Amino acid sequence: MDLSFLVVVVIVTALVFDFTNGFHDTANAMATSIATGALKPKVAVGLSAVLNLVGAFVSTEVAKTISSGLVDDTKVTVPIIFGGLVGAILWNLLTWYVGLPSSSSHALFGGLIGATWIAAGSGAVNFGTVVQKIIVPAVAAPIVAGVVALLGTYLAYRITARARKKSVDDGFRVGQIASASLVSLAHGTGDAQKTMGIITLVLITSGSLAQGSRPPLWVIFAAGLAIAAGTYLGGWRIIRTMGKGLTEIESPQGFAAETSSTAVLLASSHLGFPLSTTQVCSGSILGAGLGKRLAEVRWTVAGRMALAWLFTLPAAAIVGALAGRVANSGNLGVALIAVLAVLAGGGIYLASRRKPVTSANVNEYPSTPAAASATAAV
Amino acid sequence: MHINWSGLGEVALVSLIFGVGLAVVFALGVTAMARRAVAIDEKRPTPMLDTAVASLCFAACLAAVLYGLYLIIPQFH
Repeated sequence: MDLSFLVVVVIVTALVFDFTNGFHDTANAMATSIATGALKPKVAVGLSAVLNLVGAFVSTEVAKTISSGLVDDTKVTVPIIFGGLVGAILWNLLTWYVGLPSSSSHALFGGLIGATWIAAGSGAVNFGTVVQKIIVPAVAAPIVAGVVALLGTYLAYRITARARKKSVDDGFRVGQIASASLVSLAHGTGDAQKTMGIITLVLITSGSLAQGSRPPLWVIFAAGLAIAAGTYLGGWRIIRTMGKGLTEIESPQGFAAETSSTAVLLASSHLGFPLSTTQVCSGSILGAGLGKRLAEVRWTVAGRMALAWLFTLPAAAIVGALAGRVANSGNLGVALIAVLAVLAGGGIYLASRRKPVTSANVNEYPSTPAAASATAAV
Repeated sequence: MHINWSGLGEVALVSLIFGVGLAVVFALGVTAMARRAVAIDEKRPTPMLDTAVASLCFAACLAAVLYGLYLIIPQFH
């Protein structure tokens, strides 16, 4: 197999994206289980990583097109894909640094839209499809999941009100592990696939694979391992926000939230109205907070989260557009963007080391006295 | 532009039934288990009804988990 420099760079970039996708999304499945103590932090990310890996192997039915119709897929070239991936990776790193969950798929689509727009004009972007497949689901997901979790939490507390608290808490903790595992498995079957799809389509475009090929075994391995490694690393900053920052979670709430997420995600993917995992899980946690007592939700955190969702698509699109534009100029441009992306990523990583969040301090929120007084003030 | 409102409604309804339903069933099971645990602690005979309710509820939840696995794993369908 004779691969060009560009193709090799794009494959590596796709795997890096997959890795960021993993650690960005660990929180979706595991944040509440970690917060309530149902699972020890390291055990939670380990379990989630294994299930993501299993999920990657179980489902290798990759998409036939890169953007599922958001852009004119005939106009998508390998440099555009590269630009889109760079935009998505940088947005994932930036949101991880500030500890906010945001949808990795939206970041990827944003990057692709931006890169395609600059390369092939606005005509190549299907704005109607963007509204239909991204904006409407992004608004609907947290509402649906939030209402389900709210009702579930409210009823769970009502039903168990007079039972012995310790037995109840222990019972719900066990239940949480089951529902969190299902979310992790579903995540692996969906998100690892995306990277497999990108690599496979790049290999097809470059003539290394025949049209309509399924992903080769090494692609499945690489994508599965990248997402599992990312998951195991654990996006502790995001886990803390979702498990502790948004609301104080007790095990009945954690269970109601996880069950709501699982139900909404499975219903949405099997009834043909896909909803983003991140938005579903955040909505569930919010709902679980509201279901117990209205005042318990930190709305400033929820507001910042909503803001991050609003900016995901345009921010990734701008970076994707710039990166795609430069990459289009040839190997030198590709190398330049790769170096810049590594520098930016390294910078964000170094910045994160100043106040690291790890498995040891993930359940301490707020982390500093300054943040504590800020939260107390609102 | 076409927005699939009925699809969204269907997702919302199914999620509501399963998501809330499971939370209720599990909570009933947990409550029965808690009553059973209290009886054991107080050296009373374990109430048959609580044991039966708990088993039934947890069996229903297990069935839901298995159905979830069936939906997630494409080889099953």
